[in-house]
Amino acid sequence: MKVHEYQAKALLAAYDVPVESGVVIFSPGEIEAALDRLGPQPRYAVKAQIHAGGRGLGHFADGFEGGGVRLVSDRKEAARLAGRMLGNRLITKQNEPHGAPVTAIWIAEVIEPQAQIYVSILIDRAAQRPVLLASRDGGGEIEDLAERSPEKIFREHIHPTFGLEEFQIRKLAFRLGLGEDVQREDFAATLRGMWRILWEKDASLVEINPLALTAAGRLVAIDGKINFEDNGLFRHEDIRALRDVQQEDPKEVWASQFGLTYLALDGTAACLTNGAGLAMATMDMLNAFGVRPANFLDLGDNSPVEAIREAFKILLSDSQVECLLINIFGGAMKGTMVAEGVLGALEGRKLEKPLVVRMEGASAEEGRRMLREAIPQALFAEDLRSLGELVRRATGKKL
Amino acid sequence: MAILVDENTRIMVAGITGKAATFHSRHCLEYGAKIVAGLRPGKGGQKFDGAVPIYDTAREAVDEQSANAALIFVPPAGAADSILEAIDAKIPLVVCITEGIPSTDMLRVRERLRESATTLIGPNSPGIISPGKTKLGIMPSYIHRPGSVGVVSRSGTLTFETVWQLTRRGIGQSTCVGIGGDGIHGLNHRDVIQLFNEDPETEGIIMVGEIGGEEEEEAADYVRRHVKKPVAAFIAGASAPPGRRMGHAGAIVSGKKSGAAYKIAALEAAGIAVAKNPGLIAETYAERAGVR
Repeated sequence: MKVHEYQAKALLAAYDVPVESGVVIFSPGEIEAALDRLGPQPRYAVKAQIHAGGRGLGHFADGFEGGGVRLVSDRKEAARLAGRMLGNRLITKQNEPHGAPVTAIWIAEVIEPQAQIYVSILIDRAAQRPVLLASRDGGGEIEDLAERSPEKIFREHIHPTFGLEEFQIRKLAFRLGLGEDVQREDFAATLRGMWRILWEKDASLVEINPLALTAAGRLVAIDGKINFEDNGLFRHEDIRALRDVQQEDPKEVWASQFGLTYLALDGTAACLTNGAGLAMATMDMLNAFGVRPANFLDLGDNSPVEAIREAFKILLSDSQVECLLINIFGGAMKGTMVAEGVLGALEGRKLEKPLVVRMEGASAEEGRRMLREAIPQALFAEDLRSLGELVRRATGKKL
Repeated sequence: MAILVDENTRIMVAGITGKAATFHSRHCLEYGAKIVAGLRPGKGGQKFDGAVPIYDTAREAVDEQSANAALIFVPPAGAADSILEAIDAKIPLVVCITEGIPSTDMLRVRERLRESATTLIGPNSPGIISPGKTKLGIMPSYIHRPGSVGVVSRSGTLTFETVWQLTRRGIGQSTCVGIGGDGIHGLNHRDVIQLFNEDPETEGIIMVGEIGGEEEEEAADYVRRHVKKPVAAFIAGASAPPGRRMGHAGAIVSGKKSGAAYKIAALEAAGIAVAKNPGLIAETYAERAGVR
């Protein structure tokens, strides 16, 4: 689960990480009072809050120019920009073409960094341990830096049960050239807070880029990003409350309410599949036949009939779809349950689009029979390849 | 022969009274699996289906029934604790089916595993089956056939798909292992391929991988250096758009290196035959191995 920059900063501050001063607003009426709270500033940073990156270079749906991150010296101009961004849609390289609605603005002091430090904590799958990454060359994309000069990124693996040790913090601080005591104290507070958030709140990534070295020789986080692991959300009510469903695709939100993993894609063949691996393989199979999938959908292996019904409704609601397909290989998932769910979604109406079915595993034969009787145009594939071929024919694609 | 499990494996099912655990335990028993104990704190002394004794602690299941494998169906909030209990009871093999365990819990399990002799399969795994011998998992039984091909996969349903393709061509399997789709997990592709390589009755190997992580590349490196048996593979997710997680914790293309094309090239460079699409996995293996 992603959270907004302002939410990440509030959490970092609550864990004693030094964070820039700023205020968040959700409606035009709040702007003046918020600016009063922030106090007079030589310059103001006005930042549209959306989940996608690349905000500075993004553009607004109504043509408003200048990007979603602006630095201005005048309070009135800051207020005007904030009002103009609110309620707009911001489109960036990461979320084009639709963009995301701007429902919150972060207005902050502007700190001129003397140096920009990159620091993050995430889980290193190869080592099967958390890892702390730090670099003196922060501010830009860490992926680019890793490609260009990997020697400039320092790593410290963290023993999960012992936690981050003081000597590790010291080691990194000296490598980053943080010689002053006060800087090392700021750095230690930053890393301790980041580690505690990851460990106590089941975050999958805690990143500050940049952690600014100020003219006064202190460290301050001027950007912050935290991702939370979906698997950990069940035990963190406070983190669940940070979810902003307006930033997500409505169909994905719909699916998530029924415990399903759905991702909207831009093709024409809608996929009802179980298991992430088979769902991906089904997409790959379609691509091999020149057909683009309209979605990724993993029903899991334990979904009740209601969830299957909702999943099929989601597929039916997509007007781009030219053909529907079912590819189920059930361990616990019974073919009869899938058929019940699909027929439940149709609610007695006739299915207007072509349907191709491939079903194996538990009660597959009975499930196929139910679908054959209720949906006369349904085509049945005996394996994955013939599924791809039948969908290709149904969508009129040429090989 | 098979790897890790056979007809002598004595299984303790943790969380045996749950709905899914009950369903799958019955199918495992039908398949001939020796489920000798159930674990359900608070229900010790009762029997599962009137036959399998239930215990409050793993220790008792080991002491009284000589259980040497644990099959875990405990819900996510308690699953890591259940793995830790099995490790503490010195059960040599733990198979965890549970999907949705937080990574922080699994990181603690990983640290315990480093200092124990227990082997973990999963979590978020379909389990393991040695066809004709025993089954610890949720895979449909009928798709398997005893034979000599070892199958290792990150995905459940895609393992079923692969196995079914093999069986329909008349190619049987020695053991099929689902290592699970989570980022923090037990045995990896390389570990399982090493076991298959050292198993005299496994004649060929199929690895079913997916985008994300580096485990397939590590396995390929092992194959290049040590494996003379025919190896075929498929990498799922060639059509996945970058930056979007495809269900599994690991399945995300976050850079050039975690994409399918990079992985496929690494596998082919190691002499592994990679199926062009998921419909051709068994066919690709058959060609490489020179069987029908």
